[in-house]
Amino acid sequence: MRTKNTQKPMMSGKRKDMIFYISMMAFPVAQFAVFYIVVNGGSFLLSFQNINILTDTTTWTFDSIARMAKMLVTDSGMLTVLKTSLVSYLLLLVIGTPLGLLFSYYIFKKLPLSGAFRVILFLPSIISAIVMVTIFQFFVERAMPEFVRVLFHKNIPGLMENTATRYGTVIFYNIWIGFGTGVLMYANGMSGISQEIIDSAHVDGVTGLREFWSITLPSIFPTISTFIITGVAGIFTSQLNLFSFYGGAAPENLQTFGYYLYMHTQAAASRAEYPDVAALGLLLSCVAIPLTLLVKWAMEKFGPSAD
Amino acid sequence: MDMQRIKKNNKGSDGVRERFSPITIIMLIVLALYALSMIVLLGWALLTAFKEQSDFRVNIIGFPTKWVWNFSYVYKNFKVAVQTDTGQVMIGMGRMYVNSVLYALGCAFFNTLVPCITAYMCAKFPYKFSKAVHTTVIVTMIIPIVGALPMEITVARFLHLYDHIWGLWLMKANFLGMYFLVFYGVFKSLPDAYTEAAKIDGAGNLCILFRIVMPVVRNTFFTVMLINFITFWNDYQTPLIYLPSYPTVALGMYHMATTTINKLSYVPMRMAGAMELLIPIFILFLFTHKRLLGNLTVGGIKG
Amino acid sequence: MKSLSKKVIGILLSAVLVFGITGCSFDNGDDGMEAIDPTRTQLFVFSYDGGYGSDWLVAAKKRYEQLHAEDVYEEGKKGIQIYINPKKEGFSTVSDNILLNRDEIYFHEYAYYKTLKSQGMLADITEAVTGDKADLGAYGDPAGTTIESKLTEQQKAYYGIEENGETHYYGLPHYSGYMGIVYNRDLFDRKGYYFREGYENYDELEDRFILQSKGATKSKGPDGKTGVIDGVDYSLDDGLPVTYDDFFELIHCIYSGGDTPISWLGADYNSYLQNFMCSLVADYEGLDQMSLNFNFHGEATDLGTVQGGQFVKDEEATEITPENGYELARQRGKYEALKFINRLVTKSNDQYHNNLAFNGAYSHMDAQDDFLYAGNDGGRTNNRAMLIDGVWWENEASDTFDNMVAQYGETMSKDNRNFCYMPLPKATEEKAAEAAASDKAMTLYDHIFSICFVKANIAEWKKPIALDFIKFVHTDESLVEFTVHTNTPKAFNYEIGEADLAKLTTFGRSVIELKNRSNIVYPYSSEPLYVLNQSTFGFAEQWRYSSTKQFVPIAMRDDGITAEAYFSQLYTYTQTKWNGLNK
Repeated sequence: MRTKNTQKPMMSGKRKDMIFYISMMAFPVAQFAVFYIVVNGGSFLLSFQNINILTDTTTWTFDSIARMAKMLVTDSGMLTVLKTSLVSYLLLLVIGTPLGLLFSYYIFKKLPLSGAFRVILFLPSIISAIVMVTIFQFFVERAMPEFVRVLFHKNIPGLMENTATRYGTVIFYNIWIGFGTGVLMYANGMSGISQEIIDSAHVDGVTGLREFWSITLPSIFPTISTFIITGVAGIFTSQLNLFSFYGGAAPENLQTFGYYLYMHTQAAASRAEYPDVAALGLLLSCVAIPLTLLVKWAMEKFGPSAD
Repeated sequence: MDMQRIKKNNKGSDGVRERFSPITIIMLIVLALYALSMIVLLGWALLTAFKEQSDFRVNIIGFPTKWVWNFSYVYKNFKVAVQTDTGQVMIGMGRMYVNSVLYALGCAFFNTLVPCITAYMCAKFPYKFSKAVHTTVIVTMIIPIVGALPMEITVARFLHLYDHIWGLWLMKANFLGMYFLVFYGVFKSLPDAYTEAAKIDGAGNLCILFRIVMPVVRNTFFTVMLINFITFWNDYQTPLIYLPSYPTVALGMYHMATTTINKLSYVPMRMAGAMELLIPIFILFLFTHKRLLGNLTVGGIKG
Repeated sequence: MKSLSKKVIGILLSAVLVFGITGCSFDNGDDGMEAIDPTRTQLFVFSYDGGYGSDWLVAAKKRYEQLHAEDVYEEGKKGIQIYINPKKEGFSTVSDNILLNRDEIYFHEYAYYKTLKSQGMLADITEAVTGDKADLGAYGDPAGTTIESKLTEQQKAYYGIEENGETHYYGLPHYSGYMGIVYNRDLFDRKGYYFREGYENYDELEDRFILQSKGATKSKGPDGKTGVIDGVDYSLDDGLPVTYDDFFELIHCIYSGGDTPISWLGADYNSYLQNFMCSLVADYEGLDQMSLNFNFHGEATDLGTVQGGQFVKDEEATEITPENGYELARQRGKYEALKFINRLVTKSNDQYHNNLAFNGAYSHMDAQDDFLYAGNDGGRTNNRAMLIDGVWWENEASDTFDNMVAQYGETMSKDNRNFCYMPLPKATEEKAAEAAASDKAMTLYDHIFSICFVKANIAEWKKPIALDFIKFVHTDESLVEFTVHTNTPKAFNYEIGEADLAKLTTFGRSVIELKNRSNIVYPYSSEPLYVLNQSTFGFAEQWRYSSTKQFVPIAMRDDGITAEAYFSQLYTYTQTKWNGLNK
């Protein structure tokens, strides 16, 4: 009797859930089907095509895949690109994330001048990227050498013109403009920490760094891990704003896979030239997808729990 | 009441120690340097906006030899031509602002709402499909897309979304991207106790979602929406291709940066334009930053 | 929701504030743009509003509208309105919407003709280009003249597409884009930066150049002639450098004179300098040999290898086919151009050029500005003698000329200042002698891929109007009008009379004179290998020596790659790449 009674509402609850689920997911799935699958499906197929625009024929082949796979392993330039892509990810992770965390913590704790800082920190994100690139580029290329000349009577080339400083400048720019978003998200995560926990920690004498380490960090770990996972996904897609600075002519030691792909897509003169780029993208995805899922799994398994 | 008292206590003895600990001072210095880099840069841009091109040529960092008001020239000439049935119309900055607000606000809202709801469904309804959606989001973040633009335009035209601002809202209403993961994380860590209690009280799924869950995540929601808003506010590529009749300010800025044949392309003019674009969004930020940067923890449930 | 309304209020408030500070009313929309005239029939024309502007089209429009003011094309309407849509959008932005937009005729640049054809975007315009109906006699050209008759053989082979045994045209070239050296003739005159007659007999710099000895005679220049012979004036190039070595000697001379010898933009220096390199190669190789790089059929006669810095020519010529096209990476002209560029960009020669020549924040507009202002700004910057830029530069710099007139008076106007396009110096003395003996002394390289076409889905009844307008803008009168407006030539063969030449600036005249004495190479062909891999061969992209290191100037400057090393790596890489091309 009892079992029957509870089962009945459960069943109908499940069906209700299912109907609710389907009705809520209908739009997102349909939107995805149209604007992702229909629109981009052809891009995936391109990897296996050979297109002749003169005869208007498309043949199916693994040529592009094979060719690009060979290039990835034999071309010395690709090794440089891989290195830059990885190093850039690590730099952005190692420098950008802790800075972002510290600053949002600083603001969260309402330490001196935090009100002013949070406005300033966010400025680069709210200025149109086209303008920001212009301002930044002009500043490091023209104004900085001018300052040095006036203050130290020394002639130096622009920071991006100078081979020794250009990579650092590009990384700086990326950290700099990515800051606002990170700080916003972390601060938002921190705002969820209940005051009671902090107070009881204070009673136990847990303050400062220890408080940050054992209370703040775990509670925003989901946000951090999302950024880390997104970052891994970005190893093969991020172009570090190189196109804005260099157009199609970024120096070899600055190029990332994201830039390389973007540049070659931009340069393609007709559909006939797409298969190679698509194939390269697909091959890189074959590495990036498992890697990202692995990192995600590791984050879930080894990360601190939120409680 | 209780909370306020505790907060006040906080500012007592150990609060002072914390405020001026060596670590705080180091952080303060780093932050100050960082803020300085920003102020110097924008200050330089502002100063440049008051120069004549012939002055800027040789005077990159000094004060303007002659202060000129480039802003009104930029405002007057900051225009994008739009084709209408009655002929070509020049759209000025005023209308571009309106277009920008409509475009950015709508896209930001839908591009936040859809991931939010989809993430909720995936996090709280453990069907196999939910897992598939979650993986799809990650996969689509990685696979680069090649040459899909013509197809996208065709689809947009076919569905009559092309050249309508609301059409773009729909096109941008996808659940893909990292904010899905953010919402997913938030919902996953949300204790089931909230919804269970409501369920026992007989609340329906929809009611739970909008009455209970959404208020809990409103902080995250508005944070993501603000970030999205800024992204769309600065987006010129989509309006360039899909909204020929509704130029936005970012598009105007793009035209200004790519123009080759008139005064607008001079650096001082571009800086003046940049400042004009910056001011409204800066004020918006001044209005909202308190709300958005961790000042919303007023008791109750926190998101 | 509360936050939402707050945001809206915030934005509106700030918008109001901006309107406040700029002192303008909210609606600054319409400002007298042309309206569509409902009493006339419209022909919609897209014009890329870049370095050449659209004034030329406005002039043609006025004449055409007047000419057809009484014609009836549609019921209830009289006359025609050429409705111009001048836009600065690059072709990649425009191209996806061509079939869907209102514009019916397009004038643009950097467009791949064969790609557009394959996408079905182009209407057949054969009737306007060749055959009886294409006769331009009705518009004042000599009877029997057609647009086709104004094209070069290479252009005909590219734009004319064989279909069912007949040649069909789907597009035409538009303006010209040569990259070269502009020199400030006023400065050259003032400082005497000209080689002196018989300079080859002297060693000291001051004896080889005119400099302060104002009375001295200039050398005969690259063409080896001076004065007027058979009605042709050969004196414009007098005193200019004949060989590459001469050129660098001139640079040295200008530098010693306290001026900046040569300048160029820093922002996009790779593509500007590489286009310039292509100009050097084309001029060295000549029309036939240079064209091999695009059509891959013929005999390559000056391939070789470099050993110990010396170019060693192959003993036998090589038959070029699409299979072995990579052999062309061994053309001597390429090696010579690499050496030339190396001398210009290498760090030890930084005194040759402006100090921002590799600075990413130094745009082409900045370079033009400085070129014009330098020496005229009250001693703030020293004179600049030369500028590497395209033929369009003077039109592009119009605003700067105007600003200078406002600041310093009429003497600074485009008409009153004298700039000239320099005939490219030759790599060797033999080449120089060869050129001087020929009536086509130079070979120009046109890298701009300009295009004019009618969109494929133009309404059937409107097509004849479009074709007629195409004919109209390609009459001699219209072509000359274009040149007068832009000071540059259209990419067609046409004569410009004395009276019209006189309307051009000194620079414009020097370009026309150069064009008249040159063959022109266009970097395209109808060969399938070319068409299927256009981005590899066009737009100066052929300079690569690895998949990631593609640009000569940056490789030479930053990595210290020598011309010899680049030349051999260019060959190795091109050979590897060849296997991966679409076939």
